[in-house]
Amino acid sequence: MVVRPPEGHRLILYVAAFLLLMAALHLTAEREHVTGLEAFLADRLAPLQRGLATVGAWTAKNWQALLEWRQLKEINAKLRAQVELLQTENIRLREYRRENAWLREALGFRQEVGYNMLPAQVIARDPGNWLSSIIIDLGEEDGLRAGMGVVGPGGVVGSTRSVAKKTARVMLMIDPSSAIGGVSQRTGDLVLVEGLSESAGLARVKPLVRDADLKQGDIIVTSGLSVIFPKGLPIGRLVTVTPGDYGTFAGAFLEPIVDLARLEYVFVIVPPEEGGDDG
Amino acid sequence: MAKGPERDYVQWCVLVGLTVLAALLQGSLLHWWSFLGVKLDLVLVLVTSFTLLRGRRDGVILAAVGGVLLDFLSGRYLGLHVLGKTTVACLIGLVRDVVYKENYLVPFSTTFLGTLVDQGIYVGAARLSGLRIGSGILGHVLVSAALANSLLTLCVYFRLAALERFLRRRDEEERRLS
Repeated sequence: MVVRPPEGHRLILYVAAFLLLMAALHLTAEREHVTGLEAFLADRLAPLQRGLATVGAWTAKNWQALLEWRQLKEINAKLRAQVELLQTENIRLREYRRENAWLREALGFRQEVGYNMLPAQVIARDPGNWLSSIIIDLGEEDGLRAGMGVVGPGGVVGSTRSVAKKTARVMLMIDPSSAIGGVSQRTGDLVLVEGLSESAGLARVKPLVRDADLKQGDIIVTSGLSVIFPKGLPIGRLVTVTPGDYGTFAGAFLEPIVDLARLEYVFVIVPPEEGGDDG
Repeated sequence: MAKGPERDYVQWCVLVGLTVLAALLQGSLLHWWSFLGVKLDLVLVLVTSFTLLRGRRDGVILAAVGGVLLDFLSGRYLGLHVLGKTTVACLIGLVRDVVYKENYLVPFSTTFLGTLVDQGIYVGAARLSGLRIGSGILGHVLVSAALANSLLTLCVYFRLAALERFLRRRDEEERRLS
């Protein structure tokens, strides 16, 4: 027989449970380390999540291909033309790189230390619509720790937030808690890139100088002022710029260069002092 | 064949297993199949459906299990999902006996309102804990998520209801025979 507590006691129980939850919420906000139970679960569930992620990515890709097969021919022709163009551009960029290296040397610039990159697979994502984070299949055992930069094909993805033994949580740059220092590639104005939410898929750009000159289409790259990201990594492109009164600046929104919704693999940047022999 | 308490135990294992699977799918596979620009909340759909079908106690237990797992999978603010989902189960449990559960509108509107309450609590508590969530997209995400979850509930609820009816009929028959 189930013994039910009296109505008054039940109310106390509900209030206690509510207070306990609120305390847990407060205590677990903005933490760098996961609890033992969370780490245990994350590590044990990782193989299953990896399997589900692979199935999901494969199905989505093939389903999309099936839907778009008519356009594929046209896209193929366009891409071929683009490849030719990029090849030409690549040759030119190599020339610029050689010239740049020579200039750095000539001007006595300190050569930037090469960063080590660890490839990782995305095995899960935040189950909700507000927070933007992914779980990757590298953890403490692979030398990861909280606060390491993560990049994807073309630019910034986010940074590691909490690390278990075999997995790590990466907070994406569009997460509401994320803030990255950036600089406009066109004007050199310093800005702060703050996330909005998973569903928005955009980040808010706040200028750090009063007379910032930002325009739609501007590329924002990392400023290099933090130790997480090296200088000059593309963050995103400005999609909306709202001018304020008297030539001031009301707000701007940025679309990430990397397609964060379709990430399958990322690279974790290992700072030079932890990069071993390569550092 | 399992009987009495043993069968209850099996049923509970299946229910909890379903909820765990829903939470895992939500964090992996469902990301690739977002609907109306938002992720479907499978756990909430199960919680609303089972609370309507089985009552407040069962709903709250499933909400707590699903919520805890979602919080662990999210790895950020522990308690956010539990708070929203158990509250929804409690509220549905309160009105469960005064609504006609066979009507299509009931599971649809229950999930619609349930999603609004769940997400509202989530955003409110997250904001209280210091998270910046822009107001600009709030309405869009809330309504889209509510609509998407409600449509999914319509697909799931009546199948679960049929299964529940079958199990109950079988139990009654066995009781009569014994």
